[in-house]
Amino acid sequence: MRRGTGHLTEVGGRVGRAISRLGLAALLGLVVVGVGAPAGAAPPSAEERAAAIARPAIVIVEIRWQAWVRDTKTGEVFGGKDGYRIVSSCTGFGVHADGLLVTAGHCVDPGAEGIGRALFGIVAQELAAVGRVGDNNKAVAALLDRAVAEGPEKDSPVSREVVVHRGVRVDDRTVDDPLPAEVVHILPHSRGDVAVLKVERGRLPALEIIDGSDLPVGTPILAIGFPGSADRISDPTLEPSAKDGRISNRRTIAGVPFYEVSAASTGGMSGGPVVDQSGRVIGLVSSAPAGEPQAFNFMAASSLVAGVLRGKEIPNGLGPVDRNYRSGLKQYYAGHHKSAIEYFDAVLKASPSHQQAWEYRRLAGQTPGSSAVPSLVIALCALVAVGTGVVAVFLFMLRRTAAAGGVVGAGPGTPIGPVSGQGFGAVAGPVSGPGFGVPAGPVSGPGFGTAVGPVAGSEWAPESGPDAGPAPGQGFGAAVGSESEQGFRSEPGFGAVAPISGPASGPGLEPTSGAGPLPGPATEPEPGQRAG
Amino acid sequence: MRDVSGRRFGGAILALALVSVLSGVAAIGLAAVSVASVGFGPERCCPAGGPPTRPSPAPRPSATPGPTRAVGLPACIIGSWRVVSETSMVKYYSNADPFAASSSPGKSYEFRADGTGTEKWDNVTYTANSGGSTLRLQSNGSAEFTWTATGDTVTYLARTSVNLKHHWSVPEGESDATSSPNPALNEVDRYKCGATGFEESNDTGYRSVWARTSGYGFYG
Repeated sequence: MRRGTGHLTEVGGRVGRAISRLGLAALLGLVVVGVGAPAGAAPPSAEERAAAIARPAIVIVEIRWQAWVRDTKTGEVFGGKDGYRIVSSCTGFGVHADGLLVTAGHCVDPGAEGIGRALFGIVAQELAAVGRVGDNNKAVAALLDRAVAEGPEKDSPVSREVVVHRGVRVDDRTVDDPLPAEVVHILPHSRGDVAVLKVERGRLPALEIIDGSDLPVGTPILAIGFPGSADRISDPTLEPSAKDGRISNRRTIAGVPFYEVSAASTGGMSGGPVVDQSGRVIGLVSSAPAGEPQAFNFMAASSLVAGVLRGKEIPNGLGPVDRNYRSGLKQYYAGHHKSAIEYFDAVLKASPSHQQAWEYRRLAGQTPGSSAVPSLVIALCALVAVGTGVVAVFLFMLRRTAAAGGVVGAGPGTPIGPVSGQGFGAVAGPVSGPGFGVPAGPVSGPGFGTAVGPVAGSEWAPESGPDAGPAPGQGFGAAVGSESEQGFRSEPGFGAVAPISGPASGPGLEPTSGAGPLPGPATEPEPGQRAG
Repeated sequence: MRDVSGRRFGGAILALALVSVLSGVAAIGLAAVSVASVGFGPERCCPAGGPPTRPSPAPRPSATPGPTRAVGLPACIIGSWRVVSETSMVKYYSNADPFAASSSPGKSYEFRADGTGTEKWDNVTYTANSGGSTLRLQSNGSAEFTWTATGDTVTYLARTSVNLKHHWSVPEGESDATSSPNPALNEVDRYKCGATGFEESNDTGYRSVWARTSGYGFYG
C-alpha cells in the first residue's frame, strides 16, 4: 500500500509536472496567438487606418457658376452674352448625419476671396490673349482692386449651384449620388476659410472634429481630398488621395489660426479634411502660398470649423452609423473579421448604400480572420483550469488516502479524521472560490488557493466543512502539528499556501466559502499552525 | 520513503494547482480582453427610413437657358493705341481725287468700353506726292467719336466733338484749316486685332497699323 502510494505519488508528480509544463506552454502559446496579430492580416499603417475612418464622410463638392466680371472703373463687362460658366470642384466632409458638411470657404464664396478670384484669373488670361496684360499677377491684382463678379444684372449676385457627390453602393455597383446642397454659412478665406453646406439626406457619414488649434509642430497629419479636374466629378469610383505630412508651423494670419503643413495638396483638395492618425479632423485644406516651390500648404485649424458650427448652432458629431463603422474597422484591422462583419452589417442595415461598409464587409468575409480572443482559446484555458484542478484534487485525495494509511500504520490514537479534514480544509477553505465547475471561480479568489478553491468549493465544502468546522476549535492545530511530523507541513508548496490563505482572513474554514471579506478571527490559523 | 513520495506527490498537486489557477486566470483574462476589444456589439441605430437606396437623379443644369447679358464691345479693340504707320487718303484739290498720304508718328487712339473714343494728333505730319510736288499736312488736336464693332468691322458712328487744327504746306502756299464734328460719320473699316497689334483698313486705300499702349484698358 505504501509502495503503491509512493508509486502513485511518483507518477502523480511526473504527471503534474508534465501537465504543468504543457499547460503553461499551451497557455503562453495560446495567449500569444489569441491576442497577437491575427493570421493573414497585414498590419495596416496608421495612415491607412485614418484614411479608412475618414473615407465615408469625404465628398466631392461641385460648384457650377455663372458670372460676369465688371470693371467698376471702366464699366467694361467680361463674360460675353452667357457669362462665365464654370464648374469647379473641391472636397468636403460630413460633420453630422443630418446632411451637414463642411468645405473650404473659398470653394463656395462668390466674392473676391472665392470664385471671384478665379474669374479674375480667367479674365486676365483673356486680356493677355489680346495684349491687354503684361503681367498676369498684376492684372489679377488690378482686377481684384477694381472689378466685381456679378450676375446678369449690374450688382446682382453670381449664380451658384452646389452639388455634393458621393459614391454609394446600389445593386452591387458603385454609383454617383449627387445631392444639391445649400450653402448655410461662409467664412471667407481671410477670416478662416470655412463653409457649411446642407444636403437633404439623412444618415450621412460624419467625422469627429477636434476643437483645438494648438497641435504641436511635428504632429503627423493626413490631408485627404479629390485632386484633379472637375470633369471627373461624376466618376463614382473616384477615390480621394491621402497625402501624409506633418504640421510644420502654427501661424496666425490676421488673427486667424492656420497650420502650415508639409502635406502636398493640389487643386480640388481644398476643403478636404486634414485628420490625425485617429481619423479626427484637425483642420481642412485651405490654400497654398503663391510661388512656393516646396510642399508647403496652409490648413485651416479645426477650431475654426468647430467655432463656426458652435456659433451657428449647427449640430455636429458622430452618429451610431459612424461609430459602428469605426468599430467595424477596428475589428477588421485587428483581424477579428467575424466581429467586424457584425458591425458592418449594422452599418448597412441603417445605411444600405454605405460604400465603405459594404467594401470592408466584403473584405472581412473573404478571409476568416479571428475573433478578438478565439472562443476556443478561452474554452481551452477553462478546460485546462478545470482539468488540472480535478486532477490536483484527485491526487490530493489520493495522497490523503495514502497519508491516512500511513497514519493508521503509524500507531493507534492518531486522529485520522481531523487530520485529513483539516488538511484539506486548510487549502480549500481559505481559498473558497465561488463554486466548482465555474472556470472563472478560481480566478476571483485571493490567489493560489483559488485553484483548489473551486474544486473544494461548493461541491467539496460540505465535505470539508464538517471536517473543517470543528478544526479551528480543536483539531486544526493538532492535526497540522501531527501532519507536520509526517512531512505534510514541510511541503514547500503548501508552505506558500499559508500566507495566501492567511490574508483571506478566515473565511477559509467557513463552509459557506466564497465570502472572501468575511472577518473570521476564529478561522485565523494560530501562529503555530502556519506551515514552515 | 514516505516523506519523499509525499513530497513528490505534493509537488504534482502544487503544479496542477498552479496550472489550474493560471489557466483559469487566462480564461478570465482572455474573456475580458475579448469583451474589451470586441465590445458589446454594434450600436443600435436609427428608426426605420434611412437614406434612399437609390441615388438621387443627377441635378442637371436647368433646361431653360441661363440668364444672358448684352454683349459688350470687343475686348481686343478696347484700350489705348498708338499709330505705328498710316496711309490716309487726303483730299486737297477740289478738282482732283484724294491722294494717299503717309503719316508721321504722333497719332493715338483710345477706344473705351462704353463705345466712345478719342483720337489725338500730336504734330502728326501727313506727306503726299502729287504731280511731282510734295504736299504736307500737319495736324494737332483731338476728336471724340462713338464707335461699335463686330467680329471684323469697326464702325465710327459719329465724330461728336473736334478740337483739331490742320496746317497745309503745298506748292501753292500754306494754309490752316479746322475739322468739324460729324454726327453722321458712319465710317466702316475692316480690322484685325490681336495680341501683337491692330490693323485697320477700308476700300478707299486707307490702312493703319497700331500698337497697344499701357493706358486705358491695360491691366498691368
